[in-house]
Amino acid sequence: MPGAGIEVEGLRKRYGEKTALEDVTFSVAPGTLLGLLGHNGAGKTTAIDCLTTLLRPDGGHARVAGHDVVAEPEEVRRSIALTGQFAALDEVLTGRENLVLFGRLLRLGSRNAARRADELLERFRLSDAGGRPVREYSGGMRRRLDLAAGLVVDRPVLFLDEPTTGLDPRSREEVWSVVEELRQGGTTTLLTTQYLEEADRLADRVVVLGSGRVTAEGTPGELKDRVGGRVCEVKVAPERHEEAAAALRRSLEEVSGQNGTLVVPAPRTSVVTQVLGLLEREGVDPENVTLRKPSLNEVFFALTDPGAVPGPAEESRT
Amino acid sequence: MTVVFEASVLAGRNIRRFLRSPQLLGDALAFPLILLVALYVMFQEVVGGAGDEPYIARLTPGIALFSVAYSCTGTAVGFYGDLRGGFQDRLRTLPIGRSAGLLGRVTGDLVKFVLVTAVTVLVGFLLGFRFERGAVAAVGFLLVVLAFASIFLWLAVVTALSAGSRETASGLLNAPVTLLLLLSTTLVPAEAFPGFVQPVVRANPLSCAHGALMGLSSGGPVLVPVLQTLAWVVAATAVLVPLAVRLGRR
Repeated sequence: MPGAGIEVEGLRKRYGEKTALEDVTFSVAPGTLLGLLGHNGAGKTTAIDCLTTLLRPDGGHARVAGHDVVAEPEEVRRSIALTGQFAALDEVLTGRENLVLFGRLLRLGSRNAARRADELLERFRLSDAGGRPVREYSGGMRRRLDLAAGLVVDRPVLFLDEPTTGLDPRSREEVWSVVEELRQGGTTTLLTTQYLEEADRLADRVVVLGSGRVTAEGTPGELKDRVGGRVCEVKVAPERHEEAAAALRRSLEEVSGQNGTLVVPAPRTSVVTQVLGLLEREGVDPENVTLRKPSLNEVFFALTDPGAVPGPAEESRT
Repeated sequence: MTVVFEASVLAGRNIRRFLRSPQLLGDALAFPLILLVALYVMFQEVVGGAGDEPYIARLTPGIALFSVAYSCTGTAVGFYGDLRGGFQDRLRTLPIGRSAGLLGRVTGDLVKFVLVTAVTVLVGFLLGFRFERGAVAAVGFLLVVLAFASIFLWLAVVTALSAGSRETASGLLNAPVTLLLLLSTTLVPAEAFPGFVQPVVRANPLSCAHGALMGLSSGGPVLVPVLQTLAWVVAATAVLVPLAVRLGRR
């Protein structure tokens, strides 16, 4: 299905003084799932809002299913489905009534809307709960119903804004299996998440956003390799930290850490020898050297904000 | 006119919500009715003779107006929930008319107002209230109530758009609406107020609409109070609608 992808080029959005998106460029190939990874405030939701015509970008271009989001918002709306961070449902109405409501708004006609609602309830294992008001649903059920509401009519492009934030592991697993099913069905999907694990599990490609900029891009495997499966941690006297860091930066990329703790990705064990050699040449005597797995925190920080790896206090938790 | 269809679907949702929420029903129907009966029982002996007509003829139109204004709290809370809960955002990403959401809410609420007015008038009827000016005047009565209600509908929309919390959205309108009732001609005629308050009482939109409704039910001047009411509606619309549009853009 050519043209059913998403292309974003140089997208910019500011809120007053605050820059939400700065020159963001990425694309989602038709039929694939792109994970937009970043912590709170990284610009993920702003990006989704621009692409779903909820917000008008200040600059740059974005095309969804071949339609420009600014010039052809109606066409874009006809091509997309959105599931937001909050389940956008009517709490008072029943699950079934919610689906029928959206079906009727999308011109299915009363009878078809009712039939479609039943199909979706069945597919999302909500048939038993279909007659109950949504306010009685669990978090996982709501999210599933919200997904279902986005699928009342088939759309080539699906936006999922943090679909599992706040869900317990079991509900998360349920949402994941639905998303996987959709991807297999050929839907182009843009999914935002704070969870590395989620991007790893679902995404064909990952774009990492940090402070409104794309800081990394690649397949989940490539990103993991970039951070390295292991890190080498060196402790030096805190007053010699800068000196040691400068020495390491001469031959190594992505040196991070603070207060005498230096962390370097160590995909190969030989990095340890390299680190020791560089420090020796500089005349810095390390107090301690360890080779260990990076914490999830470190992977995330390294990708979203290089140089801001959390200090030893946070690391000791893992 | 596809937007009419979309608005009617959303209006249906709105009415369904109303009928299924005990709290909304209580706020919109039970409270004003209790007020009507309670005020009647308490005041009809004391101030019943202040006007020429039976006290219930004065009380019923005023409580009908108070009921619709008061039920706008439900509108504010409902709209606030849609804005913050993402429902409104979902509507905005659907290929439907831009104004369908608002139009649906307004239409649904107008139906709600008709219901609230009908119930209030019915209870008034049981206590002796009568339409003595014929069927056309009764229809006019309803139209004046709806026109008056539109002021509070826009107020509710503005409240929902600017409120920082659900509590603000639900509480902001209660006190002003209650104050309007107390400072109106519903309970006692304007002449019964102290002289310095009388201009306020006479200018009160609830008093203007109340005068029109009295004229259309038990008799009295109609044209002047209707025009005064319309002036209020036009002024409120001119201020509140552009404000709502501006707040909505943010």
